[in-house]
Amino acid sequence: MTHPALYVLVLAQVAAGAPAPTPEVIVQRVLDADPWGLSGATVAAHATLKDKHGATSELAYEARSLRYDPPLAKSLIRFSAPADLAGAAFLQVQRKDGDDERYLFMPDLKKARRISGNLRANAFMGTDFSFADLDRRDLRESRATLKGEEDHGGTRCYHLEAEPTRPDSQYALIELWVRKDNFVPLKWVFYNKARMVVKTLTAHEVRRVKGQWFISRSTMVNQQEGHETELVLTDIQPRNDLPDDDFTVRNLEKL
Amino acid sequence: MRAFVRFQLAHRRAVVAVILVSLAVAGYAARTIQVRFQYKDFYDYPGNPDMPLFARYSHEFGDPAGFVVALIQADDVFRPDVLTFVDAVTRDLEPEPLFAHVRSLTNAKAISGDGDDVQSGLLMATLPTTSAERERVRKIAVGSALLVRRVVAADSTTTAILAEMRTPATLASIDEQKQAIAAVDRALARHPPPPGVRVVTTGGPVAETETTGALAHDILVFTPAALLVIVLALYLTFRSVQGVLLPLAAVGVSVAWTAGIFAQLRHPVDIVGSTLPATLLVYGAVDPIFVLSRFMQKLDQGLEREEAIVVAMRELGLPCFLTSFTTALGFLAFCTATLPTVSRFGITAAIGVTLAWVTTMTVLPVLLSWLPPPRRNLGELRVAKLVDGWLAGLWRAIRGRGRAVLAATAVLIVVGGALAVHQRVSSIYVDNLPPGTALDSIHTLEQKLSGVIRTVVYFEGEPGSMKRPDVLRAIAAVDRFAERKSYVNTSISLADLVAEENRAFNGGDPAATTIPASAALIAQYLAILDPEDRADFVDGTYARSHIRILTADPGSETFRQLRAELEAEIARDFAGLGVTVSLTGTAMVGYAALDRVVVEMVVGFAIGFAIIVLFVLVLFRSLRIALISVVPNLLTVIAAFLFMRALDISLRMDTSLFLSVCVGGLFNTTIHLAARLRIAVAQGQTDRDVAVEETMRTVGPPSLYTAAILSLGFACFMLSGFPGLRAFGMLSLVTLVVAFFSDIIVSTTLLRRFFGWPRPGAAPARTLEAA
Repeated sequence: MTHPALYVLVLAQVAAGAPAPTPEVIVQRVLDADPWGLSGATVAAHATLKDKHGATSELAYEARSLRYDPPLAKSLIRFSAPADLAGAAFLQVQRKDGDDERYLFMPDLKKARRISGNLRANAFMGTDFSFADLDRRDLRESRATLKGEEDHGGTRCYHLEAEPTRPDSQYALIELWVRKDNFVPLKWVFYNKARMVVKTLTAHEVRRVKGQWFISRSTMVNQQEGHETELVLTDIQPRNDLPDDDFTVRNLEKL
Repeated sequence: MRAFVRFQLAHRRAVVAVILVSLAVAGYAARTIQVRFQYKDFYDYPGNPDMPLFARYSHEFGDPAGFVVALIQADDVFRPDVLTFVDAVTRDLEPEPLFAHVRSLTNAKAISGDGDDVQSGLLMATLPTTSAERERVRKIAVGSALLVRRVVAADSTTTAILAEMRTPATLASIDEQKQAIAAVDRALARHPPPPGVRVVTTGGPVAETETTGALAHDILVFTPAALLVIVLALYLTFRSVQGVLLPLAAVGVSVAWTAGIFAQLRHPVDIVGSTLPATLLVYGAVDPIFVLSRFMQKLDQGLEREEAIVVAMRELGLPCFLTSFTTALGFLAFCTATLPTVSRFGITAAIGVTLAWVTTMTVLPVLLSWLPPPRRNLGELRVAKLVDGWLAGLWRAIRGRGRAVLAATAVLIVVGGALAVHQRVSSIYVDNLPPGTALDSIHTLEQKLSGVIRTVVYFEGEPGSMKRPDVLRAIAAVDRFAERKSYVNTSISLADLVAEENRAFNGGDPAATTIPASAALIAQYLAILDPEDRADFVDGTYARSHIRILTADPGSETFRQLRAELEAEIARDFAGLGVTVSLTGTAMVGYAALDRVVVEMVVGFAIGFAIIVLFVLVLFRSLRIALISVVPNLLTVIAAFLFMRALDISLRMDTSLFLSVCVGGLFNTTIHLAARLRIAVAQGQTDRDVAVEETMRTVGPPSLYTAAILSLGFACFMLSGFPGLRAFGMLSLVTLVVAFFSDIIVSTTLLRRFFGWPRPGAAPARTLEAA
């Protein structure tokens, strides 16, 4: 949870050219942001998946989300492309304690299935984003260290290292470069337990909509497998007025 | 020849200097020779029609069993201490850049269902701490078609950590495979196994590297063993150090020259090439023995040393050339083989035999002129007298039974030939590995898990075709067909994956382990998979997929049958589906190539045989003698094939090698007999019994010694760690012994009857030398 006083403190520090905020504060600001529109927004998104042989496939979805207990959120994603995926939908309810709840609806099965188990390391609908990348729980529950300030793509950034503390995390370390001015993370480097780079997420385009920053175009590259996924967000509408009933299994099963 | 020898002797310092320089050059070149056994050498060669598909498949899906395997055996591999050990080794290996993936029970993913819940993801994100959790993961693991026999045995007594090489093992070099094995060994060394747990490193790469070591060891054993046979033969013949050293020096120089030339081929010594050193030593030693013996005869007759050398060389230059030439021709016939390893063997052996003749004509005379000659010669030996008496007795026994001998020969050729043509061609890989821990661990791998022999059914269609229910059902049908074979340990396909997901999404109901009818549902099942996991089964465009069939090694004969049956099944299941289905994998590509080697060996042998018969025809200008020469040698070959049938030895790459080495050994005695008989006739001998007996008693002893040296020399291969090479040694022994007896009994009988004896008063026949 973010206290308004924290913003005031950070703004005051920035304005005064004061020393950098603590890593915990930076991580909290990153978590407060919703760069992929999955925490209090409606977005239309389009992903292009490229495998190691260069074959590409497309994925399109619309996501609605509700931040119900910041930074926890509920999100419902309906897929529209490719054609054989149309109608499939996914509901995720983040939980503070215990596993997040996830439900998958496939029209031919008529009924949603609760997906449990150690799914966090799995890819999200075949993309190079894992469920863990999207729920950002590894960042939520991590020990962060500020490594300094660096320029990234011409923008001054905080360079952070976060070590996830959850035992089921697939990552041992996440490096982030977070823009100093708006706390949007521009680059993430994910390391596995063997401290090898497994994936790199790079933000290519950030967009401010109604005062909120979104990463509208980003690429996740899986270095180990040679895949990559480009995620483009279109039609971003930050809103937190969606009814809670939208994020139920019953609603998920509506075609 | 006389002038040549005199010239050499006059400039012997220069000749020795040239030889020493050439030895230094050959030795320098030969230092680069490596010994290597690599299965891919038998199929990965330009022009192999199976390779483009195999390469395309390997590029797409890697090697289905090219893992370095840490095989872990315990009373229960789900024991907490065993799982902790597996996890520690797995985590240790994961960062190793040599490996594309490291898979084990502790990082495997699985999908299972229970009611409306689907459990997906890591089989164990954290190690189970309670017995209930352990039982749950055990149930999922041994119930998953994708995990059982792959990373865990159905009885939970064996598990495996599969370290998949980044370079597919089928295409990797031995060094790359050694590095991968060393990485696994290092990881295992860092984590001692719990009590009662047995761990071995195994898998395809281990089999290949262990075999390379065994092959090098073999060469180090049977080359000295062949050398020992020659040394013994030389010592028994000449009873002096010089008598041993002089011929050995000659043959040694020829082997060194050949090694230098072989090095220029820039190819390591493989299992076929491993027979070369012993082959060259054994064949190369024969001529120097005859030259040395003749030289000593001439000394005994009172000639001066230099004159004795010149006369001995003049008398034996041509016969030695003829026998060496026929031997070289026999080997050269193998250069027609498409498989480089066979053609290289043929060319190298032909060069080696020719060089052995060259060194007999150059090195030996020079050394004879320098070193003191041996004290005793061949004729003084008691054994020589015994042999002479035995040959005389033998001739007495058979000369009156010519019809019986010929009738028996005819029966043997017809009946034996009819039986011999039905040879079983069955190459084998696993059970041809030398006994030891590597073989034992591969057998365990086969019994408990999957094995190292891989067959692949490769599907190629339009993009999206692998998501179609009809295609997946057809894949499932072929998959099930393969699984019904007793030697198939695992058969895994995209259909298994989809069926397993369908079961999970249908409450875990085993009846739902089927391909759903809805194409959309299949697409959705596939879409939720990790790209990394999915890529093991299907390409990114869903145009290509495969069935990976891992088996024990029943031999190529079974795989030929499997291929035919799979093709029939595929034709039934895939009719009209618009999907191209091919069979590939090392079992299909490798065994096809190995079987081709056998065919090429047989064809090469037949060509060599025919060339030598033609050569005899030209040499003697006699169709009669050419035809006579066919009979005893054909009989020998038939006898060897009958021996194979009797002992149930299949024709395969290594056993068929006996054809290659024996083609050079056949015909020599026949040629000597015919040539000697011509001399007898030219000298006016008209009594055929007397002429043949004299011929037999003149040619018989050296032929017997030659046969003894050759057969005992090749019998050294019976010391090999490779069962196939042991069979090769035995077959060579049998063939060369039978060849000797066949010539002494059948050739003499045929010559006595059909030689073309001159009518009284006719002009004497021309001798070979005159020809």
